[in-house]
Amino acid sequence: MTVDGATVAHDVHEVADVVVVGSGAGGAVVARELAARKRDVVLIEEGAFHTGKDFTGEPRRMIDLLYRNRGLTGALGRPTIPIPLGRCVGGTTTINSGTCYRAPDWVLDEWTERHGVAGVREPELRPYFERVEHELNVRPVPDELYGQNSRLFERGAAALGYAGARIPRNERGCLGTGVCAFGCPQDAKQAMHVSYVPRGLADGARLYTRCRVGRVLTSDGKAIGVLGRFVDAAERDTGRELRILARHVVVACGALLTPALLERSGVPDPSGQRGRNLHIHPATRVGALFPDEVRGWEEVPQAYNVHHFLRDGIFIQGQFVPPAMEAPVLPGVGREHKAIMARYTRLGSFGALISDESAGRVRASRGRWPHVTYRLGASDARRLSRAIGLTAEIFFAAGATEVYSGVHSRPVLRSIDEARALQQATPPATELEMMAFHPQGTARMGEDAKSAVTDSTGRVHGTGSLWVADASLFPSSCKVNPQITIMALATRVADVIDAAL
Amino acid sequence: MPTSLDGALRLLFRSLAIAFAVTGLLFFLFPDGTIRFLDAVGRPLGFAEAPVSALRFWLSLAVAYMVLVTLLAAEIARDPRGRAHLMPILAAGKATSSLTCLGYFVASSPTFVYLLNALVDGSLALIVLAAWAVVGLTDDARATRDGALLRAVLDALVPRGGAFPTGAADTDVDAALARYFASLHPLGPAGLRALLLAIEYGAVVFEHTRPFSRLDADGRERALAAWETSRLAPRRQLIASLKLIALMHFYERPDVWPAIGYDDGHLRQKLLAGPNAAHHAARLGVAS
Repeated sequence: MTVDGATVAHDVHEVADVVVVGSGAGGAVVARELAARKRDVVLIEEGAFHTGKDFTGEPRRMIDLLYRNRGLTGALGRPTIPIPLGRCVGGTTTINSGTCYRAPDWVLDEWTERHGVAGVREPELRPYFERVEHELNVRPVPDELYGQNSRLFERGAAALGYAGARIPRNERGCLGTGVCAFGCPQDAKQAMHVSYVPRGLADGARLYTRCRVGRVLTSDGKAIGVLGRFVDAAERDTGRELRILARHVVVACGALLTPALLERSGVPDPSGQRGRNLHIHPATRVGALFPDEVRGWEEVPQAYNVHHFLRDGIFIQGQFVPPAMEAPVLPGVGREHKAIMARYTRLGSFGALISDESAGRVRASRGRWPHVTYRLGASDARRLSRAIGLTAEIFFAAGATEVYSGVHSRPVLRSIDEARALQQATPPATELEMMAFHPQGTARMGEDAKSAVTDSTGRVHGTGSLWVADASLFPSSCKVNPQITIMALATRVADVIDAAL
Repeated sequence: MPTSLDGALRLLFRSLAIAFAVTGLLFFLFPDGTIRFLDAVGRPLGFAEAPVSALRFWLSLAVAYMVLVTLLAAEIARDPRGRAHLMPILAAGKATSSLTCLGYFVASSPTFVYLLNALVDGSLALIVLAAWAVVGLTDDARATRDGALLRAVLDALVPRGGAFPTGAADTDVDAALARYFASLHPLGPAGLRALLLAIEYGAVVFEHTRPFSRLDADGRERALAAWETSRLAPRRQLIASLKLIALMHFYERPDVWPAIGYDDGHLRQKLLAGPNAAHHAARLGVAS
């Protein structure tokens, strides 16, 4: 059963075994896994339920339709960093590139040894990873969808001896439409809204869309449900409320919204860590001009990666976008900028992404969007500069004649030597054009209630029935695109809740 | 201008008028008592006492000043937008009062009454100036001037000629941008106006040229480029924001695509090939 909150004409009060807030990589999996075991589940999503039939591939229209705050979300700091998020059924899985990586073994070992998380070593999580990957049909990009932007970069990386690979993606019947970040028009990408959510609904879960959960209801320190308000298509409060009383409450709103909801709800936080430890993946899109046509929009935009420097916190991935999204990050104004855009067919584009050591903070605010602060430290600025320099070096090795770096002091690189010099540079963070992805860590898990918000299974310390099931749980950066790790942990959360019911 | 903002401004200046009237009356009726009261407040905090004077000449001037600011505030409260030109005059009075007291506090006598007046009147001057800025930024009458300035900025960002003929002036990107800002937030148009004014007078402040709108085409392009290459990060962020929104609107236009070699043939072909093909075909008005 799916109920569009915009159409609800009266207050709704229901009971369930489990209520799940958020239908992204965490919430959708918990809801489906429990529904499959015949548990009575209510899933609540703030955004609307759209499918490929609604997705036109037009960037700005789709950003308005699918992105939170029309894409204008981010963290305040020097510099302010945009962090785009999905707000729709499926959450950010609906608008990501479909990249599927397990958190590396050595990251899981660090979580165990340094952060005191139990049961997350690779052999223990492997069955969950396998289960999720099977559900989503994860497989490397096939030849027919692998285009020139990726091939050129692969050639450059091979020439330099840098290890890379085709990216495994969650897709069934991908046509290489090239607009993954704006919703897959053919529903080939196995985002939550075409995989776990409909399967959960088929198993009996109830879904309320366009419902903004204001707080978790508690009694004697125990979570007993949630209270939300329905909104219309223009996000205005309809005046109708949703009150779900449940034996277990799962919060899966993502690392920027989950801690704010817990704080607003007055949930105790003996660790003092809730909202802290915000980690992101700062990234810069690096463009390159080639002598011949690339036509990068005619392929899977994120099809190849260079993981050679992953242990240094650097991950380089394909990231080609339509002209309306590429133009703003290319250097110059006026005729200089037009000259670059006139060669759009010859542009390649990859993203230089880093795992941070810096940490930000999320606090609840009086408005809908929490107060998110983040200051990129000097070592992370150096790391991002190195990542950009490496990306540029690979482009030059592949035959590029110019590289557009996103670094203020040297926006256009013209030789491989300049690219290598950039790898050694120490620019301040404000010199780097960047945005960030994959917020994580703001309700970190761990056995010690003095240093972790939840226990190792995602249960909020000190509560018997309140759970977190999203990237907030990560005690440190997972180093790679996080969706598969979120889903694996969410599957485990569902297991533990099922056992507790 | 939003009606709620009008109401808030009316309330602000009405409150100020009442506060000025009450304060002026207290000074006039109880000049020594007021000073003694303020001395008593400042004494536990370690401030020196203000000397009491029997001379009433300065008091008559002070009361005249209070009458003047009361009338100014009351007049503005009747129509904040129509009488916005009075706001800087009121702010000048308050700033003068604040700065002279601050000067006496630092150079003459560290009494509480000097410090208090410096702080209170200084704050009031800033509030009045902020109200003036808000009125300026939300003034519908500026729309025509803003439209011309927006077109000038966009024309410098994407001029006609160069690598391909089409420029922003050949499109309705200016209107689309204005609509976009208006759709973001009730104060979105004010934000766009602030951005344009920063570019207009940024040329004077940072480049020591005439205002942006009075430069020739090459000068405007150089002025915009100077924002992007500035050493000041906030300047770069401002132009980056403008580029993001303006270029997103310009390069999403199908009539621009041929000039850059892009076409949506690939996208359309894929839209019409998969399981949702019939739906996309109907939307695009073509046979699937």
